[in-house]
Amino acid sequence: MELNKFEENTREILGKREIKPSAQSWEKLEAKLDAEAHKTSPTPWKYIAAAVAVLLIAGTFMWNNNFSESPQVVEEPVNEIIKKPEVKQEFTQENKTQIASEEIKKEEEISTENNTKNDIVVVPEISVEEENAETPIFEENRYKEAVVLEPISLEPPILEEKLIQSKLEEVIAATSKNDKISEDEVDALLAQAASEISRERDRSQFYNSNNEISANALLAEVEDEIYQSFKAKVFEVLKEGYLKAKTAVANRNY
Amino acid sequence: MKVIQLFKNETQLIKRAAKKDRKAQRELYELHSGKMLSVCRQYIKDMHHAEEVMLNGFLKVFTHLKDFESKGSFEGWIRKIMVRESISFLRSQKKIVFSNEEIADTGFSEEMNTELNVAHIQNLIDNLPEGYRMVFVMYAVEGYKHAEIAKMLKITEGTSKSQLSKARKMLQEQLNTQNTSDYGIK
Repeated sequence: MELNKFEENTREILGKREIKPSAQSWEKLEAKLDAEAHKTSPTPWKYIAAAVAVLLIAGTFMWNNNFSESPQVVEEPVNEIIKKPEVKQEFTQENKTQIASEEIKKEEEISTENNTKNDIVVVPEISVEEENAETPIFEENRYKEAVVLEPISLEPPILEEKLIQSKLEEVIAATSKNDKISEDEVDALLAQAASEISRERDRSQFYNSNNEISANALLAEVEDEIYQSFKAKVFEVLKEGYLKAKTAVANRNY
Repeated sequence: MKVIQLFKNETQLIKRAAKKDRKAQRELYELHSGKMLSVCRQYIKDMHHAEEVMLNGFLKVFTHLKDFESKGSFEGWIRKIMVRESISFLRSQKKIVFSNEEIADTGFSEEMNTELNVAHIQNLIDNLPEGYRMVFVMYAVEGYKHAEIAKMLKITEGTSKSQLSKARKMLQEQLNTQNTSDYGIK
């Protein structure tokens, strides 16, 4: 076909064609290349600055997490084993009353609903009070057992209630029966008991109804432990880093 | 002999130019600018605009020289960049219309003279609407497939084919009228 010939012709002729650019064309291109070189060099610095800011933030987060997590894991069991018996020993040495234990016993009978593990926790308490001589050892055992059993317990609310109840009763019994205790001592005992109860509650909150660990409860506990000014510092660093990154990102096109 | 030597040196030149060696860049430019301006001129009627597009194309070539893999031909690579640059220029000018108007089917004379010179061919192509011209040049001169043209111009393959056939019809029309009047044929 003629048109095909024309196309062939066109391809051949235009393919070979060369048009000489204007005399200053290279200078123009050189100027463009210079402009491009200037344009590209500052941008990497911006990106580097932004990357550093991001790394800083990420690093602070990670460091912060490590700092807060480690005491939480180590301290919990140690606290339970060491602190509890000390408090308990004070009570037992001052001759606990039968009233307290009897009340607990009654309560147990009322709310026995399948809570066998709770029973195990409470039963030794009664026997302990009958044999006063060996109380310290038994008390320790009892609390070790309690520590082990608590996380397994499926119904933390009931356990918590009972713990509060028993602690209150212990304090009341100790104070009412023993005249030697001064007002200050009563206050100290009450404060101790209160802190114990709150700790018990905190721990029970870690385990939700389906035995999952609650992140909020863990965080709450950890936050108490963090040194306050350090916390403020970390937040300040975070804020600074965030603002830096924000401005870097916002200005990257200018 | 001289040409062979130049080709031997080309890979060397490209390597140096990639490291922003101005001299090497200039040599590459001198070597290819004539052909590349011709390529841009196929798409763009205005010579000043064509040259501007060619320079922008070379700017891209030099800034992306590290991306060039020595597998294919260097000329093919920069030619492709020039075609893309020309297309985006025409697109920015918003001159491209892929019109659907029908062109009357005119027969062509058997004795049509196809021995045409460069200026005449360019003139014929220049007379085509932008959309027709782009597809025609890409297909007939640069040897792109319809699928590639469709991708580059962001149109369907069907549109590419119809643009080509319309461009051909229009060219034939021009050739017929010019043949009968002997206009522009030496």
